[in-house]
Amino acid sequence: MIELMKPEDLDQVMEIENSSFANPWSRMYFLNEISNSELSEIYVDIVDGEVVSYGDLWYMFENCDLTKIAVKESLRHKGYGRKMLKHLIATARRKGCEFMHLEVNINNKEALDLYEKNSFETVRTRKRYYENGDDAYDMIRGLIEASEPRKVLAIESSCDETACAIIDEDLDVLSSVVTSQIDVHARFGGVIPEVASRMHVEQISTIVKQAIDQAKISLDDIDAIAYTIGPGLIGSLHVGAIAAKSLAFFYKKPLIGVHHLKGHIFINDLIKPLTYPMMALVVSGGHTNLVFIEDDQTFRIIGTTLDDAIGEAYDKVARVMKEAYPGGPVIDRLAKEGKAHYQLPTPKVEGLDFSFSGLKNAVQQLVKKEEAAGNEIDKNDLAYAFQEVALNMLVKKTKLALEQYPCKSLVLAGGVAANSRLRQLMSENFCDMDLILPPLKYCTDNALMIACAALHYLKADKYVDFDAPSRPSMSIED
Amino acid sequence: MLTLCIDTAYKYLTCALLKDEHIVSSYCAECFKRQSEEVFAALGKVFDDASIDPRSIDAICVSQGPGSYTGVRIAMTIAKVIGETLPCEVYTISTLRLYAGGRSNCMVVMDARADRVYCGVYDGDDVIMEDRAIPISEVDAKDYEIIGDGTLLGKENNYGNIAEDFLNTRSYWEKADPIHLLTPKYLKESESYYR
Repeated sequence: MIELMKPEDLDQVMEIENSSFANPWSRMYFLNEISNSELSEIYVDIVDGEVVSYGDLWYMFENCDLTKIAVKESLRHKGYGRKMLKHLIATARRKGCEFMHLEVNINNKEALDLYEKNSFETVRTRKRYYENGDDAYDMIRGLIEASEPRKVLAIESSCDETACAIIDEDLDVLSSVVTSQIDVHARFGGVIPEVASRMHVEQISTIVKQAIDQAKISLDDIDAIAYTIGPGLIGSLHVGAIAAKSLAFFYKKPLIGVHHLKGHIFINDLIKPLTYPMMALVVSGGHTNLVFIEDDQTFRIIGTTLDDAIGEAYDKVARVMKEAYPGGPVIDRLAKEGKAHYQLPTPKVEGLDFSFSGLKNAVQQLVKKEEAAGNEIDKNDLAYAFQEVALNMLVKKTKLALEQYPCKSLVLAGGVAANSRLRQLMSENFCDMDLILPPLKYCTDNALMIACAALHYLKADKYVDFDAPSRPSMSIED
Repeated sequence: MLTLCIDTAYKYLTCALLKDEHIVSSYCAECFKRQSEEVFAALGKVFDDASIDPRSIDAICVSQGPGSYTGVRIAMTIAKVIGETLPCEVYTISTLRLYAGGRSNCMVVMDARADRVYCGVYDGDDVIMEDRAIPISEVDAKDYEIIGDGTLLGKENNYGNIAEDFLNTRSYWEKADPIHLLTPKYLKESESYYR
């Protein structure tokens, strides 16, 4: 996530600064830049709580000076520099600047390459500009004549969140609004489809209006309207589809029908540039899949659950334990206090597939047996036992999948990606590869993820017609 | 005033453009359970036939229910989203009152499944019986003109001309204000889904 630098980022920024520049800025200088100066802004890119890059802009009327970009030494050549540069260009353009100017050491081939690829042109050479006698190039690019990045408005309504977001091709998030029905559904212990559909209709116009207002743009500035076409609850999908098609029809925009799970995967574009081939472990209330992603357009399910989805299993086990819906956060919390005590059998499933219903039944039987024996169930220990078996199965199958389908990166996606123990297990087991764990706020359903995925459809000119039906059980391979 | 009228609440899909007291263009076809796929093609047709840009409408009027839950939500969603963003005024009318079309002594019945019907009785401006969902056996058809699923009462089905019904019921349209609080009239409370 790229955001404005805060004082607490200073230590990490100084570390990068000192290892990147011969004449580094001082702490005071940075603090002054971020606290006082209205004419300058420093942005930091934070990945997994760590500053990976930063960039500084000075605004001078119609000109914007890019004074520096730095990427953490151990993370160079991974696209973070490009990501930061694109963000800074988009920011300067949004502020109304017409030009961006920078100076670069003529011997810094990588930086030159990056700037040239992003339309910067050398306008003059400054002889012996640097203390060591090196020359510098003055480079400039226009911000107005360059075509505006295309913008997508996306609507998500596949289950119990009504959401709308607007993003542009430079991954600049213009707005993201979500409203959840979880409190209502918690009363019954699960989502009631008809009630969910009704709540979507109640919320939809407010959410769309808010997203447009927050983005401070007009619908005329939008280049495509995207929505979740499937999978999901049919009645819920319908509302989002009709809303998206209404906007596309009245404002004459192309329509993009996004697969919900691709949203969970591509939201990670906001975290770091994704590299392919990529493996995705998609875990949610409706899905448990291992997806091999050859490139951003080619998906193959290589492992799936034979019965319940993992999130479903969490909900059912929580119900057996007389705990609230949704079960995921509850069991995660209880398990933290639990210890190895109860024994639950590890489901035996061939190949890369999963199964959770046997495990759920085993929990049920264990509870019955203990109750019959007059023993009180230790919920913490039971949560611990269930979670360890369920999550270790995910890790084991993911390892197996990576042996069969070698990948550059591994991404965790879906609501269950918020589970703290799963995140810990993934970090421990896959530390030797490019592992991407989405920030918690992106694990639950939102429209920003649909917008991120829609950009990949836009790139490939994949549109749908107004008569495209919603697809409640759509495969990610379609 | 240029008003786009949409009814997707039951067996038909009806779209009509009304300019003051005239129907400029209209589309009506039997379309049970396919409305969500067909509605934008139908809208395209009425705007093309009238050579009118969709964004030049002043208002949208939709049937608010009762009817098929999914169906009612289609027109309602279009009205709410476009009403808020264009923006334009939004009006609603009860599906049963719409189908009554301003007729005198008219009973409207629609299959509500499980041997029940949505039923309302209208006499011009007067509401003789408020819209309700009742068992078919409790329906007293008397000598009313029956609109809708007449066969359920041993009579003929008659769905009238819904585009003209919109025109003839203008005085009963209710303005939605604010638009975002508008909800369909399901005649079955959400609470009833919680056991």
